[in-house]
Amino acid sequence: MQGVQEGLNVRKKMILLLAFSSGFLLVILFLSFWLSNDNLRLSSAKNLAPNLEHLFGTDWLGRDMFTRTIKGLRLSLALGAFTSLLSVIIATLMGVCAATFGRTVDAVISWLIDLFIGMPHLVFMVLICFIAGGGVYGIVLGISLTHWTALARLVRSEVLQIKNVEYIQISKSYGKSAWFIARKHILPFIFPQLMIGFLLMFPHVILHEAALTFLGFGLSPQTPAVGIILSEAMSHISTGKWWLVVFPGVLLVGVIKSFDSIGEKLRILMEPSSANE
Amino acid sequence: MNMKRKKQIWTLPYGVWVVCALLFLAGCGSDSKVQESLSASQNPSTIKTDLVLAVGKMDGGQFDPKKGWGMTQIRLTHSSLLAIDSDLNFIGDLAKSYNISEDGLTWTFPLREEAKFSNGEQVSAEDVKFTYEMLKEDGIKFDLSFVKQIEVTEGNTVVIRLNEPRSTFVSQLTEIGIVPKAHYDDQYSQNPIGSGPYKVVQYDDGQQVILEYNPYWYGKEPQFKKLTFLLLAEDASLAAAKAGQADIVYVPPTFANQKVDGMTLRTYESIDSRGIMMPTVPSGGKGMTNGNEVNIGNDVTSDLAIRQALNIGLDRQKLLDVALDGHGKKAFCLCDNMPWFNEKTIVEDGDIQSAQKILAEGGWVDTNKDGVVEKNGRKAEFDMYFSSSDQLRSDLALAVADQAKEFGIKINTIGATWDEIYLKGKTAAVVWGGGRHHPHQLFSMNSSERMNNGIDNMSNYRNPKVDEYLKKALNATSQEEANKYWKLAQWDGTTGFSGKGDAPIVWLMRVDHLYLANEKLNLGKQPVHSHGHEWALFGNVTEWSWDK
Repeated sequence: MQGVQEGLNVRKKMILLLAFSSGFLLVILFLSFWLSNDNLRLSSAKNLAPNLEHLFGTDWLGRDMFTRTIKGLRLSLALGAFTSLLSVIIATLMGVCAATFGRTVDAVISWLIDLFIGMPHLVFMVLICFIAGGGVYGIVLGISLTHWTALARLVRSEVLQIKNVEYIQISKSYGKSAWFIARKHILPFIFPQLMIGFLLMFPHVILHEAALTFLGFGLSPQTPAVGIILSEAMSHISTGKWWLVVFPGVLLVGVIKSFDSIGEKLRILMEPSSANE
Repeated sequence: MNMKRKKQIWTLPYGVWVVCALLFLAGCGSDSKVQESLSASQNPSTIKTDLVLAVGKMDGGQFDPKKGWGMTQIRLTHSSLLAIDSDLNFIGDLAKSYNISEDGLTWTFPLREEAKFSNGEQVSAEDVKFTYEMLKEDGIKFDLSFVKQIEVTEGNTVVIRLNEPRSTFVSQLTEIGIVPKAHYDDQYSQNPIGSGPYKVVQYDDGQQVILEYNPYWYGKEPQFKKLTFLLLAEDASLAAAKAGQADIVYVPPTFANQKVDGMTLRTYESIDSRGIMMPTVPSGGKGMTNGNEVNIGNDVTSDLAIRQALNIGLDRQKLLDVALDGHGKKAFCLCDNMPWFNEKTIVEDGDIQSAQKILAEGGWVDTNKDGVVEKNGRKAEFDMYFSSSDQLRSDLALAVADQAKEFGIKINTIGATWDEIYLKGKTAAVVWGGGRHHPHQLFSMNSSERMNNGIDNMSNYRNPKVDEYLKKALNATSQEEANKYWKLAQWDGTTGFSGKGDAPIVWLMRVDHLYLANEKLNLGKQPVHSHGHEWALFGNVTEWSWDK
């Protein structure tokens, strides 16, 4: 009995948290468009500690850190969304193909998945990013080509599971095309999985984006990106400018945690086994 | 129930994180204490004979002239035929004196008898001959193609005969460290033997270099018998200084206002110049950099108006203030204030109106009002590379890009390693550097003869008139005549390689070399520093002392 009681509370709390997380992200997005690009210009107001005019202080070239951080996070979010989407598409294609096109294709794709999982994540990403010539293009490719594997496995097993259920067999016997079955019967079934997969991949991708830009792959130091901000700040820690690291770092963690909790909460709400709690 | 477990799982990692962070901090703290006590025990109160230095990565040349040792300063471990004193006069080093024939073709050097390598063997005329012939044959780091013949004559004397007079040869004589014929091979960097005041006793690439006094050194005995170079990045150097682990460290201007107990900031004026190198040919061609085939050319920077607009539009003083905190001087050519500098190349800079006018006359107009000018549908937008490990160049790149935006030129800055820059640098702008105690770089950076040679003339610049002046300056038999042509090559009233003329490289500033040094360390009278803050300091290392 107690469990049910608590479950209701948790559900309310969960929705509250969800709203808070989404609100936080929306505020960042809104601010990133609202803040002027002029704050990114070099100025004589150098090395200021956080104050009312510059909430996060300024860096050694006089750029406003608040603007840089927020705009950097927007870039992270945009890159994250695009890259996650790409990964999900790859994962869906691979998963569905593996499950429907017979043994040989399945073996090949499973082998591919094993191959990608077997490689050290970051090294592989750096490699792809480097081959693609760096920049936003390299980062997107690098991350999306390495992050589809787990989801592809999930999709494959889901599709295998429902491939032989009755309504699909019936549909088949009515002469519906494979494309029709995939679109009308299989995709709707795996859509919740994809949705959750997408949301949970998001924070992961953002972290990797930050890692790649931190390591200096591609993006120009003019571009406000969290990874670049952090890596630049590294060389200024020894001079005691803590605000260059602390605020961007904390905000990055905040954004990631928000996404993570949104995804997690949605999963719990949508999954049949836990949705009734 | 499920939820509750989830919660616990979430809180656990936070706890672990906090503990980890604490452990990490604690680890740092105790570590530095140990180090401090170590360095304290190393400094006895008697006369100090060893120094710990952190003046940069020191990855250029690796003590081998064939790898470029000598492009900056060799005087710690090697000696050369001639040397430069702190007033920039040429004086004998290995050569007791030198004599140039009337036509400038025959140079005679009687050598010192007492000069010995660090292994005790005598520095002979044969070694000199070997070194010069080896470098001439290699031809990449030192251009000695004009040397006809090197002879060893009676009385330990070297006679060098030239094909044509060469006014900059005298400077090369100060830069080429003599290596022992008997011990020189491709592994020379591993165990360099030279005839300078110090010998290399330990060389861990990327970590540290330890030099000890060479007992066979023929010059003044230095006070410091052991020099330990920590090859640290700029921020780590500063940290080492703060921890009391180094006696002298190089600091980039952004760190110059840092106070460290017991250390004072030493500022040395330099001709170490920084500028923006820009390809002068349109894209599509092929060329060579350091012996590798590379793509060359850029369709935007090859337009003269773009380069000239940058020369006049960029506000050098503002750049100095932003990127260097004022620790530098304006520069308009590679050789400001040297005897061969043409003062007519100085312009009123920071003049945005003139820059816009030059752009408009060149056909660059902002038609779609996006703040970037266009010509024939091409935007005035190009990439600019800088060495990402160099704080100063990265700040300068950002500051230049920021200012160029004001008159409609969009520069995308890209940090890269030097290897990458050498590969792609001929297709985009690069934050370039240079500046020597002699004018040879004016030739090597701007003559069309040097287009595919090493990293010379990166912009693939070609101007027949300038080539002619440079050639004449190079072949002059007197310094006065040479200087006259060096000046004409910069600007003759109508053309030249300076910013006023074709501007293949827009020179912007001379960088003061800044070091934090122990207040007791006396660095002697330093000449105006040349390019390369790592080694520039050591020209007079034997005069350094530790004041009581």
